[in-house]
Amino acid sequence: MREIILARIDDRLLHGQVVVKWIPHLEADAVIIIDDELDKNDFLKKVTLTAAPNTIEARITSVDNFKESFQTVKGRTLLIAKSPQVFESLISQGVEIKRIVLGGMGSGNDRKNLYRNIHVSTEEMASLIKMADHNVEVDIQIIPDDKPKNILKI
Amino acid sequence: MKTIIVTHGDFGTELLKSVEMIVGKQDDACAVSLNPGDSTEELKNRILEVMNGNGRVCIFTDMYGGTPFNVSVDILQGRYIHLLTGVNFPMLIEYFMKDDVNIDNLIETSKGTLIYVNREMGFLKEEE
Repeated sequence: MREIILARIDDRLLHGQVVVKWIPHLEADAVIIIDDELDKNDFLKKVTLTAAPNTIEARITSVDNFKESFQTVKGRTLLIAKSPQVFESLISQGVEIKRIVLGGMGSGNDRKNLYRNIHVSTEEMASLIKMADHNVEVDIQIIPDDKPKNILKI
Repeated sequence: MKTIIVTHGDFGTELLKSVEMIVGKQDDACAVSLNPGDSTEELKNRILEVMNGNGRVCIFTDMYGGTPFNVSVDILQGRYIHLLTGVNFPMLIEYFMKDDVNIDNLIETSKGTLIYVNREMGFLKEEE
């Protein structure tokens, strides 16, 4: 039995807020980081995986290998990626994602500020709206203690 | 050696000030803060700026896997610097007091500074 309980967009990927707050809050059994660039860097992969709590299964995969990687995890699974397009791509491959939270998206290059540390490019916003229009709940929620702000209502 | 303390918020700035109360002003040391809303790119640029092409650099970060640490690892990938994590008060005092510090020894010594005093002194209640 495996299910995706949450997909988080965070350009810091695995870091303090995720390890200390989200993983215990979600009672996650597994975390899968989907990032093509990180997947190619053995040094950073090792550092990142060491940061995961040893009570959960942690993996790093490319977008193309996600389905294969997900086949072999067990239980409540958290997904993390840097951009909404990653999740849009997984959904188009038939992966069932019900809820996406925006947790950290950096500024720069004409990126519009949505809320605190959440900035989006035009393409990212289009991707988020598209998913939200197709029955995915898309919220800004940096840590679990924050009240979720739905993307369609801001 | 250039010393940089990178932490969540102003912990590093204040920690350095506190440590300087004991060891005196450290001209080659500074702190870089990750503030709420800062991007990783901003933080990385601020660290590179204070490194300022310095050949010998030692970076202390607050927590393994936290953003200050992750950004420092990213910097470590491109150049040879010393990177430590779990920075604390006795560790920095030990570090600044030695002229030529051995990082392995520093880490080993620092582990010994974490003490549950009650247990160490045999001052525990019966039920514990």
